[in-house]
Order: sequence, then C-alpha cells, then structure tokens
Amino acid sequence: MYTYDEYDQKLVRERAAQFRGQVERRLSGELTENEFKPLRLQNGLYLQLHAYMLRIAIPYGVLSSTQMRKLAEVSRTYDRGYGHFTTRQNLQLNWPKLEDVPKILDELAEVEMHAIQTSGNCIRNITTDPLAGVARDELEDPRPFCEITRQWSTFHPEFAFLPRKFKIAFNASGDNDRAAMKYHDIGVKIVDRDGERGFEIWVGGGMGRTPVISKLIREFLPREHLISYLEAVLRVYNQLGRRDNIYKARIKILVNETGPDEFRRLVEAEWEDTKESSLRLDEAEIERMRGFFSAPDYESLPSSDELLGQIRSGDGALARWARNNVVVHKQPGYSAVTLSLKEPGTPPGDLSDSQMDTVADLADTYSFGEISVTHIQNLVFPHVKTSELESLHADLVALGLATPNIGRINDMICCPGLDFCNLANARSIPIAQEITERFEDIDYQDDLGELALKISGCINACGHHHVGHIGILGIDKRGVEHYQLMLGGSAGDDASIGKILGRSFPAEEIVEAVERVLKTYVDLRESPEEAFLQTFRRVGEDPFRDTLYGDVLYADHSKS
Amino acid sequence: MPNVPTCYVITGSLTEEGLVAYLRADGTWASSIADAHPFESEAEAEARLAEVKGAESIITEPYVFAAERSGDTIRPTSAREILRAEGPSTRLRRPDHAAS
Repeated sequence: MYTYDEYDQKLVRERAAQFRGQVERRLSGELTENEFKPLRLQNGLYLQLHAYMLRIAIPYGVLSSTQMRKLAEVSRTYDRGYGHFTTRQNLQLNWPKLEDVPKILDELAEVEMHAIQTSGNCIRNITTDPLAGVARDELEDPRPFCEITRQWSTFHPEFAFLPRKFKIAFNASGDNDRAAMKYHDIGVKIVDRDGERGFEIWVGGGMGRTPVISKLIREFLPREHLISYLEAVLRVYNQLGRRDNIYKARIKILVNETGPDEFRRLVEAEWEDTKESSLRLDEAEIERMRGFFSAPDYESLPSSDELLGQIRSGDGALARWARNNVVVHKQPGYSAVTLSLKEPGTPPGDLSDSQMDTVADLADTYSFGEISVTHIQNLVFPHVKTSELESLHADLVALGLATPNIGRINDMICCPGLDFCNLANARSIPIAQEITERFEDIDYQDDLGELALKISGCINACGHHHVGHIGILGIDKRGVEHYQLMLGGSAGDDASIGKILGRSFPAEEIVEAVERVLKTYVDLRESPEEAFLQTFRRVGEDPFRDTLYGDVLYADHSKS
Repeated sequence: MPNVPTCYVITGSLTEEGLVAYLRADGTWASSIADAHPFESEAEAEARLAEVKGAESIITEPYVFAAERSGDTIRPTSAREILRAEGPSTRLRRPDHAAS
C-alpha cells in the first residue's frame, strides 16, 4: 500500500495542529459556530443528533493492520468503543468530544491517516473495488491511479469550495462493477482499446434526492491524461455548477441541464489548453505509484480452485461460508474473504474496538496485514491461502464476523438514520435489524439468492436505497416515521434506479411488506437461478404492486 | 392527528461535548429533558432563545421545539426530538465476541 513521504507526513501533521488552534478558538468563544462550521467540516467533523461525529478517511478502502489497531485504540480512548464503516469506505466515530478531536487527528497521523476532505464541498475520498489488486477479472490494479488522484485532489486550491461535494470512483473489472461507479460524480473505468490501456470517463451520476446514472463523456482517455482530464471536468463544474440552490448544485444537474454533448464539448475545450501541461502523467510516475501496490510475498502454490470447490461442496457452516463469503483470487493458491459486518442484532457496518484489534491480528496471520473496506460496509481479507480457509473461518466465527450472508438479503447497506443523523427523517438501523431477524434463516436467504437491500433514513440516500434491488426510504409523515418501498434498482454495470410502487408504510408494516415482495418473487421466478432483479425486470412492477397494495390489509394505503 | 403542543422547550448541543442539552429555568443547561424549563408560549421561548444565542462557547445551534406537557412531564412529539431526548434506540456497540 501507499506509504507517506515527508510531504504527506508534514501536511497531515500541520493540518492537525491547525485544527487544534481552531478548536481552541471555538471553545474559548473566539469563533462562532457559523465561523467554525466550515473549518470543522473540512476536517470531517459533523455535529449530529446526539454528539459530534468524526469521519476518518480510508483512501480507496485500504487499511493496514497497524492502522486498524490505531482505529481500535482511538475508538476505545476517545469514543464509546466502536466505529461505523461507511459506503465511502471510511470510518465514523459517533461520540468524540470536540476537545479530543485534535488528539485523535494526531494519533491518526502517526499511522498515516487523517480526516481531511471527508466532508465539505470538495473532492471526497476516492473509492474503488474492495478486490482491487486481487480480482481475477480486473484489467489491472486501479489503486495506483486512485492514489495519483488522491494526491492531486488533496488540498487542490482551485477545488476547495466547489458548488457541492464531489465523489470519484474507479472500476477496473469491466462489467463487474463493484464500486457503484455509475453513481459517482466521476466514474473512471479502466479499459483497453486497440491494445492500449486507458480510461472511460463517466460523469454526472449520483443518488440523493435526484438519482441519476452517469453519462459516458469520453470513450477512451489515454492514461497519461487522467489528471488533466479530471481537472478539466472539475473546472467546467466549478465555473458553471449552480451555487444558488443546494438541491441543484451537484454536477449531475449541470450535465443534465447542459446536455451530455454540450458538457463534453466544454470539457474537451478546457482540456485542450491543459492536456500537455505539467498535469500530464509520465510513465515513470505511474510505475513509481504501482510500486506501492506490488503484490505481497505470495508463496508459490498450485491453483486452489479445485480445493475451494471441494470446501464449497460440503454441507456445513464452512461450506456455506466458502460459497457466500469467499471469492477466487488471481494468485494461485489464494482466495479473498469477506468478513460480514451484518451479524443479526447489530447495526450494519459497526465494529467494536476489541473486534478491530482481533481483525488486525487475523489480517497479520492470514492476509499479509492487509484489509479492505467495502462500500457495502463489510471488510475483506484480500490474500488468504485457500488451505487456511478452515482455520480462518473458525477464528471469524469466534469473532462474530463469519455470518455467511454476503450478497444475500441481510447483507444490506444501511445509513445511521435518525438514531444518529441530524438530516434523517426516520430510523434505519431498527428496520435493518428487524429484517435481519425476520429473514435470519440462512437456507431461506440462500434460496432467495443474490439480493441487495438498501435502507436510507432520508432522501439524501446515504444508504443507497435508489439502487437496492429492494430499497427502503424513511420519511417523516407529520412527525411519524414511515417508509417507502422501491424495487428494481441496481448499482452495478447494469445500473438502474428503483421504482416506488405506492404509498409508504408505517414502521410496524414495512418488514411485512418486504416479506410480501419476497414471496411474490419466489412465486414468479422461472427457476431458482433467476435472481430477484431478473424476475423484476422480466415481469415488471404490477405483480409486486398488486401484492403490496391490492388486498384488504393494505387497502388503507391506497386511500391515504 | 398530531397532538396539540402544550409547552415549548429550548434545546441545543453542548459546544464542548456535542451532547444534547435543555435550558433550565435558571439559565444553565441540563442533559435530561425532565429538567428543561417549559415555556408557556412560543413567543416567550423565542425571546429567551435570542438571549441564549449569545452563549456560543457553551451551546451550539440552540432552537425551540414544541412538546406535550402532562403535570411535571415534558414529552416531545416528533420522532426526532424523542430520539434526542432518549438517545439512540439501538444497542450502541456490537456484541463483543472478541473479548469473550
């Protein structure tokens, strides 16, 4: 993984020292909240429903075991002994005191971490595939380009006050998009054309109150022009993006209002002036960056595909876990393992301090000390010897992180919701927990097959409800929590936005509504192999609307 | 139908800790809504709020909300204020398998 040079180290330490001074001035009353707010947001510090919340950056989701131990220590010392992994592959602490935040930033700087640009109207954490570097289907490891982009975007003076926040994601695995790339302000897809490696550039995707799938703005960008082209996109957005209306300020609105063709013309015109500037990447710099992400010291082993197949073919807990939580690796003899943070009865994405410590130890034992955070709020050990899967499984069972539900209905994305968030209209976590309990039977989950359920507590869509095969959106109806149900979304390369089928449900009815949807799917699917999304796209929304709103129990919703 | 509000409460976040606080009758801040001063009218609460806004180093983003009052008990009516008063409705941390 990338290691800081003297400039990175100095920059992060000076930023922590600067924020210490700002906090002191806030606590003394020298700074008002209005003056302090933009300063704290630039350092990832929010004021939420019950307390401050600090969002710690985990660039493109890559963590070392040393960093994970530091997160455990910080959670234990300065918070309430746990942290929450987010859809931007970051970690949030829900209870830090303001006076402790500079100390936390100092501690993080010791292990090359920070909270810079995890909030505010700037370029946020770069995200990518949690299997980057090990996926068998990737063209190349995207992380060197993520790091180049991170360095370019960090403290970029021109883009410190954009019209609105800005998110960039990379995908290097063709149609197997595991980074929700098409719902980002910019999606960068590594592609080959006529034997040359480069990028597709997608612009203007996003969720929030106006979900939009991004548009292909450039079919092929030679890789040396990555940064100059990103800069051209940002310049056009910075100049023309709306600043008069926060709800129309994201680049997706600009691209829609301008039209993709005109937007492309504007970007290309801007780019013409800068493409041969110092922003041009030379091969030596790309190679230098690749050096940080070279493969660990793998043992030379024969292929373990057959062994993995044998493990999966059993009928016990290990076999099921190997089927659902383990994927093949590009290095012979190795596998990649997802640690489920979706144990029934726990908030999705949460990890206690002691679990963090043990995860770090296990990463050292089994995965060369490397851990990835997924945007679906799980962790990945990217380099596990297939012959050690049984041993790792036993350790993860003891830790509560071996729930074999990856890709199943209970592997849901869930925002903090009204239990924590100042923006939320309704709670998300209790609904997620009720769903995990209602559908805890893993045989039933496996029978349902691939199913992405996503819950947001408000229209800002931090829980990605628009792209859930089943999406749930919390709303406020005259002070009472209600939930809208939508179906048919997808965050993958076959991106689609879910459709709302009818009136919302009160909290006590929403899980039963989900169960009705599932029963309808099982009744309508052509075979157990036809996944929920395929069935929904084949039969359309009417049968699901009928089951939700067509009988006596739900008749009142059609009238209200 | 929403309940008719019967009192008004001033709340905000303690600047140092970020925690929820309610204005007492004596002008200090309490962590429990049970200790909040119930204002009879919104106008009275808003007038007091204007004074409170000067104490930036103690309280951040104070505001007034409506609540029900039954005897000595103050009960918020919105889901948001109920959660602020009572805390998260979920268990705060995962079962600690690692420590067992």
